[in-house]
Amino acid sequence: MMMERIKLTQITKNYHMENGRVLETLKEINMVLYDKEFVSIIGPSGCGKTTLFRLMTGLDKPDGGEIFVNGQKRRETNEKISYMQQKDLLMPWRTILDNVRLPLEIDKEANPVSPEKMNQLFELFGLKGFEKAYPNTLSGGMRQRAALLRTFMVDSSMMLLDEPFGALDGITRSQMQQWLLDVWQKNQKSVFFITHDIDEAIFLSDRIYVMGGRPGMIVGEIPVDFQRPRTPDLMVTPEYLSYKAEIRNLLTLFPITK
Amino acid sequence: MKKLENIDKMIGRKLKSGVFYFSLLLGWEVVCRVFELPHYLLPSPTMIAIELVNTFPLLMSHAQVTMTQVMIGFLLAIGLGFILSMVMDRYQGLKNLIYPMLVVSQTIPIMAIAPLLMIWFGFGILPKVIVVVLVCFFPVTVSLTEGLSSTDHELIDLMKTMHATERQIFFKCKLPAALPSFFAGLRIAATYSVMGAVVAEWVGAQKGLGIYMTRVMKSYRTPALFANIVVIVVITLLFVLMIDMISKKCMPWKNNQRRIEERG
Ligand SMILES: Nc1ncnc2c1ncn2[C@@H]1O[C@H](COP(=O)(O)OP(=O)(O)O)[C@@H](O)[C@H]1O
Ligand SMILES: [Mg+2]
Repeated sequence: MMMERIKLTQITKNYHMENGRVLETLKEINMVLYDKEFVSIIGPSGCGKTTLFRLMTGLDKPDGGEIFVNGQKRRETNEKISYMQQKDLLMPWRTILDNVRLPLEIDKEANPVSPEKMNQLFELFGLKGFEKAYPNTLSGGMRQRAALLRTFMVDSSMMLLDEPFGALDGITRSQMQQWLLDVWQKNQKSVFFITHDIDEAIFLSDRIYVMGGRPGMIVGEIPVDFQRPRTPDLMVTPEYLSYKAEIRNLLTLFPITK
Repeated sequence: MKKLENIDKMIGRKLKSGVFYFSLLLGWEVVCRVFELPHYLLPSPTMIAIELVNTFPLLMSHAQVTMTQVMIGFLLAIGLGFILSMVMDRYQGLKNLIYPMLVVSQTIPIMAIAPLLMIWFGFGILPKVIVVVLVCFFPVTVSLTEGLSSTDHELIDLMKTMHATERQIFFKCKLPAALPSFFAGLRIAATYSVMGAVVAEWVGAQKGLGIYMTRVMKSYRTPALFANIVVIVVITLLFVLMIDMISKKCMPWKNNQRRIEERG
C-alpha cells in the first residue's frame, strides 16, 4: 500500500458565532491523501472545504477526530504543508521574484534554489521577464501563477490548493489546468485540490471527494481511471460523461440547506 | 501620443490654478490701493514681499531655531510612536487599555499646557520640543497602530504555514503593510509639528518664529507678521513635500499602477 501523506479520521469542526450560536461546519470527515496523488475536493460554496485545509495545516484545531500528517498526529508534529489560499495574497510591496522567494527567506534551512534553477522555474511558470514587476502590474492569471510558484517554493512534499483558478475566465482556466498537470507531473508532489468545477476535478484528479450538506460531509468518493498524461480530448469520452453525471447527481442529492 | 496629451492636460490644469491664485493676489493688491487701507490693518502683497526680502536673514535665523525644535520633536515622536505601536501590537490587552487614553489625550488643548511646560522646564528649547512631541505623537502612533492591525489576516496565516516566527511576521508582513497608513499619519504630524512649535514659542522664548510673531504684533508691524506667516506656510509645505518624497522612496510599489496585459 502507498504511503499515507495526510489522513483525517472522524473529523468534526464547529465554529462559535459572535451571537453565541454554534455553527456545525464539518461532521465525521474521513479522507486520505496518498503519496504523489492528486485528489480533488468538490462541493458547493460554504460546505467547509476551506475549513478542511485550515485543519490540515494546523491553523485551526478540530473539535473531534484526529488528523495525521506523514503518519504523525497533527497536534504533535510540526510537519510543514504548503498551502495556497483562495486569494493570491501576493505582498504588494514585494516584486514577483521576492514574493516567490518568501518561503525560502522564512525557512533558512530549506534547500537553497540557485538563480539558474529559479530562472527555469520562472520560465516554466510563464513568469519570465516579470521578476522585478510588482504584483499590481500583473494580470489575474499571472498573479495566480506567481502565487502557485510561491507555493511550490515551500519545502514540503504536500500541497493544498484552494480554488487556485476560481477567479479566472474559461480559456485562461483550461490553459492553467493543463499547465498545472505538467508542473505537477514534473515535481511529484501530493496534492489536495479544492474546486467547485466538476470538469476541472475530473480532468485533474486521481480521486475525487464529493462534499455536501450542512454540516459538511463526504457524500461520495470517486476514483478517476484515466491514463496520464491527459489531454482535453478525454472530455468527450463516455467514461468522462458518466463521471460527470455521477458527481452532479451527488451534488444535487446533498444540497446546502440554510 | 496619449502620454503627450496627458502632459498637455496637466500643464493646462496647472496654468488654470496659477491664473486663479494670481488674480486673487491682484485683487488683494487693488483693494489695498483703492481703499488706501492702513498698513497695520491689511498690508498689500507687494508690501509683504518687500518686508519678506528686507528681513529675510532675520526670518531665517528665527526659522532655524523653530525648525530645530520641530525636527527633534518630530523624530522623537516617531521613535516613541514606533515603540508604543509595536508594544501594543504585541500585547493586545495593553492596547485595549492604552488606546482610549491616547484618544482622550488629544482633547487637551496645547495652548493650555504650553504655559505649564514653560513653568516646569523654563524658556529653553525643551518645553517646545515637548509640545512638538505631544502634537506629533498621536497621529504617528494611531496611523501606525491602525496600519499594523489592518494587515490581511490570511496573509499572516499563510506565513504561519511557512513556519514564520513572530519577528518575521512583523518585519516582513505587518510593518510593510502598515507603511501607507504610517506615512499618511506622518504627513499630518508634519503640518501639526510646525504649528505646535510656533504656539509653544508664543508663551516665551529667546528666538524662533513664534516669539518673533508676538514681538512684531506688539508693535503693530503687520507686514512683518504676514511675512512671518508666509515663511511658516512655505516651511510647512516643504516639510510635507519632503515626507511625500521619502514615502515614494519607501513604497516604490505605489508608483507604478500600470497593468501589464498577459501575452498569449
Ligand atoms: N472563522 C470562522 N468563524 C465562523 N464561521 C466560519 C469561519 N470560517 C468559516 N466559517 C463558516 O463555515 C462554513 C464553511 O466555510 P468554508 O470552509 O470557508 O467553506 P467553503 O470553503 O467550502 O466555501 C461557512 O458557513 C462559513 O461561514
Ligand atoms: Mg472556500
